Amino acid sequence: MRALARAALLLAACGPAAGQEIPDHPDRLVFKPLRFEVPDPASMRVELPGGTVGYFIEDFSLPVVDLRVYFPGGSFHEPRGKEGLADLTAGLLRTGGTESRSPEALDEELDFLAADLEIEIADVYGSVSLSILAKDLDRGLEILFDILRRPAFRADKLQVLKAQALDALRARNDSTAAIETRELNLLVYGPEHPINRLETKASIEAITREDVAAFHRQLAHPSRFVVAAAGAFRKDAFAAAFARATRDWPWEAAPLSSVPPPAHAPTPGVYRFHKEGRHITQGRVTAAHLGVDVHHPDVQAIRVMSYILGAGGFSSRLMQRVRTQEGLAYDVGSDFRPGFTYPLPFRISFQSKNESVAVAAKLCLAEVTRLREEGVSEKELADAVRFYLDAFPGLFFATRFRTVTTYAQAELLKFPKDYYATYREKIARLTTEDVRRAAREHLRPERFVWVVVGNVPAIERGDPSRPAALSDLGPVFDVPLPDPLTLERPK
Amino acid sequence: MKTLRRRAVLSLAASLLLSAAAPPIGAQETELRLPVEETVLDNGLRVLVVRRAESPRVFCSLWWRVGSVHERPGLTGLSHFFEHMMFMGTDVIGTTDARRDAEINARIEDVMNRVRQIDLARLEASRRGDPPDPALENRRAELLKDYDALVEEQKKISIPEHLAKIFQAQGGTGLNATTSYDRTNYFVELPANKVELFCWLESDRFLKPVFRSFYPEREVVKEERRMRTESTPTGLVQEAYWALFWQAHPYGWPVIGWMSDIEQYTAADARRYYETHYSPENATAIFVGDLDPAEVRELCRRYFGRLRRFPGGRPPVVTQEPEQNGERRLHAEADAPGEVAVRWHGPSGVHRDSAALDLLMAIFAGRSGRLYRPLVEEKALAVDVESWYWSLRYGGVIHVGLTLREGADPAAAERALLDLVEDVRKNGVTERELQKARNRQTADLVRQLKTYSGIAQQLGYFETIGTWRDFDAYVRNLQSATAADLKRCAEQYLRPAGRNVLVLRRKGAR
Repeated sequence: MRALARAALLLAACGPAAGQEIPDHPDRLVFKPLRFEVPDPASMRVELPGGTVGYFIEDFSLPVVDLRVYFPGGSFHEPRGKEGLADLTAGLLRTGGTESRSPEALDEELDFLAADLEIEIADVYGSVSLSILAKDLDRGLEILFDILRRPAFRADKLQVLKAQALDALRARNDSTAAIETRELNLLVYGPEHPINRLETKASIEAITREDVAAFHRQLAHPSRFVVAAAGAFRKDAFAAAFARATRDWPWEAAPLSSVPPPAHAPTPGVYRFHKEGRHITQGRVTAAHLGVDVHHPDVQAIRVMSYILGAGGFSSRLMQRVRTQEGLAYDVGSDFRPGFTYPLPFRISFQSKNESVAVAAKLCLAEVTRLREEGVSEKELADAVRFYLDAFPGLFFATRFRTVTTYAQAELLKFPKDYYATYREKIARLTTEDVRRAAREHLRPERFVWVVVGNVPAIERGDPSRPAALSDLGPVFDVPLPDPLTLERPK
Repeated sequence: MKTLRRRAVLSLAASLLLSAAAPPIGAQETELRLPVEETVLDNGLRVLVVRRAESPRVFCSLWWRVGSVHERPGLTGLSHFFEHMMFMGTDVIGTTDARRDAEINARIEDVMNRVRQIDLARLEASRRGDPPDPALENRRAELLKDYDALVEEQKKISIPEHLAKIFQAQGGTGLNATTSYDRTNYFVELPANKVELFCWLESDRFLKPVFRSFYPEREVVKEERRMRTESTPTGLVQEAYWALFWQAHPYGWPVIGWMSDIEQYTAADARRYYETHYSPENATAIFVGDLDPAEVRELCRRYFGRLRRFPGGRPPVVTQEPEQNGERRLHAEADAPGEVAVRWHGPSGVHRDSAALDLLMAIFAGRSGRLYRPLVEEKALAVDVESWYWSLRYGGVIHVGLTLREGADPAAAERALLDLVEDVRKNGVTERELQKARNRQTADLVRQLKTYSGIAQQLGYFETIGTWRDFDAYVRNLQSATAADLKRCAEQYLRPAGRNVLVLRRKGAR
């Protein structure tokens, strides 16, 4: 790798002087050096009384302010039998009004201010986001904390949200994409993991206004808030306003349970899900097994390995082989992102016309095997490393708001302290041997669970000119689609 | 070299002084200045540069005023396919042996032209209901074996995704391109010191494209069509609705093209398309980021100045959509929640009514808008509503629609929706509604300017439908439109005889 880089430099030095002519190959271009210091999180970090931590950046280039209040806790903390509570809580906070503002008045005020106020509660954390013109920031903050401290949770609005939630459940088996995601999680994590505690008609109907209020109190507490904000404001005035808004919080912080590690051992094989419809001309395929979380020492080696295999967009091996050379898919790739608080799956996904699904799946598998056996070339490693080093500012610090959310999330989710500070150096020192070892240890095709969704008979008919069958990948299981409202499967 | 150069400032200053409140935390300086440096090269290619310093990156993009509107039946989707071809390389990029590659390409073309002749004979036979001719089918299979052998040979000297590999190995992210009805845009974000890399690769591929890997890529585009349109719950319904809406205008076919057309493109078609439309006066390069405008200008002159104008210009788009004088309806079923939608024809995005129509649609939108409360909460007919005006270069689509609540009667929902539209046509809108919509439209414009790509999208959109300077006129119209203007637009555009109605029922529902 080093030798290669030097050769490229020499070539560049022999080329024409910059600014004069057009070199005959882009490899001969010479670029001015570009240094990028990782923004210092300490320079934007503020500890407010009451325990809230803030990351603030002043930015007067546009007359807007963006802020996001993060808090730990999410759907993983829903009581059993109340699945769907996290979404309903987020929805009712936003639409259910406050003690002093009717829902209608609240919507009218926010719309008139052209403010975007969004509340979302995901798996292990939630957030309230506000985007507002700087001149209206005072009012925006006042509304935001009115909602967080004194929500009214109007019952009629809960009924509307429940109707919407039930209609969303009915759409569960409509698209092959939705089926693929849900069934993959079930197979990889097992039915007992909190990721698979899915809402049903019964659980939605069981949720009361009191459940929503209790869940809100459990999650929303300033002692656990982490706030990211950037825009046209004065930092100290903003911090003071925030401190005032969170003073004398009306309830105590309640403990949150931690996320249990996945304890499920899936049966490897091919799981077929038939979706009826003449128009379904393409099958969707994902192969997966559990991966790692962000604290794993191999995270950067895995990242680079995954980039070369299939996470590196057009330049990845899967894309070159399955799409560009064979024309078997529009979209093909792999994903091996570390989980924040629990391991995420490693996965390979593609979509291909029914008759070439099995052929394309075998090509993907062959690329995994090749990577494990042969590793990567010095050139592939060098290109991937340079990608991460040079793209680094764009990946995490593209805008000032992105910078503060990067650090706020790292604090909330308890990333290793030096995660961003050492991100590049950990990648820069990787060798081809590190990458090969990561491939061998972390890519385990013998553990793959293959989820295949589509017109199963057409997929199994295949392409006589390129014989291949799903059974070449492992034992095949047919799984009927569950009832969308109860999630019960026909026997 | 004679160059036209101008510097101008996009200003939203007036529009942001919305209310007189004076709170202490946020800034009171509401003037927004976005300096655009414009250069027109001798060959007609326009260059826009905006300097911003959020991060040491630069968003580089090239916008071609070439889209599906320039196609014809038989070649639908060719603009999009051409976009794919532009990632296949040149005589420098994508191959280790350009001469050998050209030889193989010529032989592939020869073989595939013969296959095409057989395909046309097949079509002719099927027109008569005749079975396929076994002799021809055998001949076809033989030819495809020859083709496969040639492709294998070409693989030995090809560098797949070479363009992407170079960009990404230099820290490029988000490399891609999109094709729409009026335009195709190519883009990548790079480290701020590597604008020259973009200029090199981007001018190279439009200077001397090689239509390499043509036939595997045809398969890729067919997969894209299966993924986006065929195998989704409502893709085919939306395609049919769009085709119903446009009676005469070339906007009516899908950007990705009809499957049977995709199967018949030839490299000669792509070459002709290139020579007709990819002339530099039809392009704008837009750069946003932490860069030196003078340096970028100089690079563009050196690199993009190489592109030659094709003589003769291209045929203008002259077809006008005839005035619609009766409602059209599409009834459909799908594995999807029910929907009711109504669309009317609107004017071009540069039309003086375009801002008023955006405001009108904003008054229908949102939880405090005209549609949500009556349809979702009071009458419980819908779970969600939407309204928008999508303005293209040669016309626009005005849309109101709802997602039906399970069990709701589509006819009742349609009546309720249209009553709300008729109410605005008859009674107009209030001053408060107008101001609220104005605030919303203006703030959303500002929000678009938060990212490098957002700025480029905004400028690129206006360069597509007119020039970036039309942005200023649009903002002025947003400020000056009155409630009377909105009422007049509602009366004029949202006519009962101009309705195009979609009623989509969930499959299996009564």
